[in-house]
Amino acid sequence: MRADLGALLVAVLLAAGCSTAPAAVPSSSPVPSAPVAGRPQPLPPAADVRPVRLRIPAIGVDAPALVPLGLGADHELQAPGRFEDVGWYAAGPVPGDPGPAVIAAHVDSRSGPAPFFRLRDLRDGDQVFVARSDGQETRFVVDTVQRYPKNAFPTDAVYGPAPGSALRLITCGGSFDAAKRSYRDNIVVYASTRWG
Amino acid sequence: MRTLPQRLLRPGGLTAAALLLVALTPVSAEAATAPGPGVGWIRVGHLSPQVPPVDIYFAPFGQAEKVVIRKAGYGAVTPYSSLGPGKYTLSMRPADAAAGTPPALSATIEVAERSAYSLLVFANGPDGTLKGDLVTDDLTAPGAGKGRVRVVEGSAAIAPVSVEGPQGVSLAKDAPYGQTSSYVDVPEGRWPLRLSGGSVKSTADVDVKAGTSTTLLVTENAGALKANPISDGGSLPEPPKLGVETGGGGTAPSSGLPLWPAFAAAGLLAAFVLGRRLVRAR
Repeated sequence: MRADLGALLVAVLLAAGCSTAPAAVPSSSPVPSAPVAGRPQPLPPAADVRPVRLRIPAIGVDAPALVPLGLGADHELQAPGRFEDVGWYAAGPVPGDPGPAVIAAHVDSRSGPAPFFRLRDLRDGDQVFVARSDGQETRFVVDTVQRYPKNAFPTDAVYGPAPGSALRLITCGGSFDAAKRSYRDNIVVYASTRWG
Repeated sequence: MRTLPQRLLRPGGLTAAALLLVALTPVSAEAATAPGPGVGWIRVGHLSPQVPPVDIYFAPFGQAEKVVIRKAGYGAVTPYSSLGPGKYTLSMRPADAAAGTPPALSATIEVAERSAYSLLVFANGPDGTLKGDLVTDDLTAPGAGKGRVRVVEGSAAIAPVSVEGPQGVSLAKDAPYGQTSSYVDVPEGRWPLRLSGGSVKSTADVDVKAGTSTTLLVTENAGALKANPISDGGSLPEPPKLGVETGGGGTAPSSGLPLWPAFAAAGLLAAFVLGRRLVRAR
């Protein structure tokens, strides 16, 4: 069976080699083809697909629902309204679609840990699973974990274009500014699809 | 009947098929300092019409290869896989062939950080052998309201191929088999495209979403031309600015108020220990 496949492979390679020669179609005088009629039509409305579950086994995260997130007055990504929720940026791609999908959750509440408390512990190669309302589940693999001061947040790197399906997981980190009631840094996990 | 192919698959015959590929990446001044995931991406496409499905083997250069994709047939393009910058080897063997079988294609690939590549495998090497073409994929956002499209001409029997749309859009003009066209930015919409290769003509509606990049794979199927759009990637239509306020401070060491749960726990523990001692002391 194996030898047959090999034989077939080579045989067709030789055959394909012949076919790359210019086709023996009588070369007619170049007739300018008529322009393509019509116009691009509006895209049909996108199906209502949402992420419905986030699992990060390495840090014990299993969020059974995700809330949609929007932008605030300063065009900043708004955090989930409740400390215990995990949210996704609904104006961006659904996780598993092309481009960088963004998921954010709190590192802690005022009294204790929140869903992304251990996000900073993720390492290159850890797996992240996102299930969607259409039944698809995408496995992402962590590429790197970075910490950025909020006043120097690299929006281009975090929110810029990405090949294939990518994921950004965001929470807070670093020291806590008690006066502002705000952490000084953000933790960003970059994840991509990976073979194997 | 079998001896000829087997001889051709020996390492001697392999050298013709094997190919050294070196990625040429544009030098970018900001690349070294800009923060990001620190990886590159690769995917592989099978565009050799007469070649049966293959298994794809992959490894960092100098390490033992492992199967990463099984049974990729004509017209298939794998998903992207992220990987650290460096040199890698990639091989293709007939599906289910033993790992020790000499590969039909073997390539060395140099992957740069923050770059995405498609290794497209055509049957246009010497004597029709497999040949890999490493193309760099687009990682920039198209203009507002536009998407980016290019054509990979994967039809060997019907060639060259032109792909045109309305409003004067020309994605490929007499592209020979194995050619990857440059990206063209077009307004978002469902584009009615016309494919033509000699007397063979067909049409395809291709959805182009603003902020995304698409590769249109042109393949042949029983004397007809087919167009299969695959996504190269996408961007956020409205990228947020600034960071995200995702913490209440309850676990921050510098925060006074939220320490009460710790004190409460310590108090409970102390009471428990004391209680046990009292019980034992009786």
